[in-house]
Amino acid sequence: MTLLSAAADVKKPHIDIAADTIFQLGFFKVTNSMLMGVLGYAIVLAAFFYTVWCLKHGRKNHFVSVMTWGYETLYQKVEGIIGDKKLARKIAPLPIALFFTILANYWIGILPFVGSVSTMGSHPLPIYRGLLADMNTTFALAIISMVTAQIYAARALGFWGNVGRYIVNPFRDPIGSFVGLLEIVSELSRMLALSLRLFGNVFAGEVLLIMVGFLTSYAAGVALLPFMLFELFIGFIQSYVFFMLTTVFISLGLVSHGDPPEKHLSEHQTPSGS
Amino acid sequence: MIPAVTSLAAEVAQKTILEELGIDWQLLLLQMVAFLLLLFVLTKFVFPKLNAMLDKREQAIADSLKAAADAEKNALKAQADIEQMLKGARRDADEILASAKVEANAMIDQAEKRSQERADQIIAAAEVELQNEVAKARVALQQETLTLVAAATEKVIGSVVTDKVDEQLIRSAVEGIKIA
Repeated sequence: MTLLSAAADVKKPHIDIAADTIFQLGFFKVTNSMLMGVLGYAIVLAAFFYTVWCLKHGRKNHFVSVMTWGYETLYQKVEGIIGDKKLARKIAPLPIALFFTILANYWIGILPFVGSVSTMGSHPLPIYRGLLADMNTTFALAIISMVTAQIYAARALGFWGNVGRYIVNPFRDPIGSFVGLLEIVSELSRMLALSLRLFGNVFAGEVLLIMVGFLTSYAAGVALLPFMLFELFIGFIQSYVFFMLTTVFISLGLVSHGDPPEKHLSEHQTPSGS
Repeated sequence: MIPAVTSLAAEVAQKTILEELGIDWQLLLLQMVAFLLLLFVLTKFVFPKLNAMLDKREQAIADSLKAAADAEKNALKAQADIEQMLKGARRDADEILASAKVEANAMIDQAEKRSQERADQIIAAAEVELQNEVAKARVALQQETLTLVAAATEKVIGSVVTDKVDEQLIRSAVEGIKIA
């Protein structure tokens, strides 16, 4: 009885798919993921502004070198995928911002106080939760990514040209019509896959850390270390995957069915018409 | 137990899948706005400066590559010039050497010719002189022979012969000598 009751008394970690509302400002709910989100965005902004400031004043250190190297590498990757310098310069900010935002938020979600510091009371809620462990965020990022891809596709192919990728007269071209339907499903599945993949990884990582911490109790300091390092690696991979997929989806939108990519790239190198 | 499960099932049934996943349209919109705001700030104030840095670096690399290509081109040109000059110098040297050889041969030929001419002149002069000397010797010998013959004849016949006899005697003596 004593053993069972003792086991029952142990506070089990709180795991919820949805982010928890910590407090409310009027009708606006402030969730635990938002607190970490503010920190994550602040880190991204601070890192970039510090880098630019250092470059402006001719100061160089390892951090600035890593940031500029990262930016340059990602930019070149975008340029390589898009294949046009002018267009790449317009498109690159979104995937690069996505990469750094996801990386920063993923990594600060691994900090020890995330998930472990809870509110008082009979139903304690974690005060801090990773921004990306909130599906609203991953969905928001995926929607922005896919909408941007559509905007660039519409600019490159024209509005009706872009619509023509999805809607084809079934009496004139039944196969094309079916392909168009598949394209619509493909676009939706891409968006879902983007958001759910990221959310799944972040959420699973947080749960893993919480459970390892819970199970190892006082040895958590040592036991968590390899898992945290692993999560840092996964965070980098997930950021890069999101970055790459966003870039590839945008580049796919620049080419219509049946035309070789070179034709459209040469015709629509600058969608703004310049 | 059963009422608890029933109430849970009812609660789950009332919630849509979006609610289960914690998707709230307000929060979704807020996250989109927050990220777009971040993107705007980065695109407006940060990325242009980083792009300028990249352009500057790219330009510097392009300039360096161009300078290296120019330097290589100049080096190749200088190498070609040097080779051309060396070739010209070798050709000039060969020409000078050839003309020197020709001149030397001509000089040698001329010297040989002059030497030959001089030698021929000396030989000819020597021959002439020798012939003169021989002729002189012959005359002297003849004169002396005549004198001796006259003297011998005087002694043999013991009288002075006339010019006519004398001349006949001389002639016959001379003939006799010639025959001998």
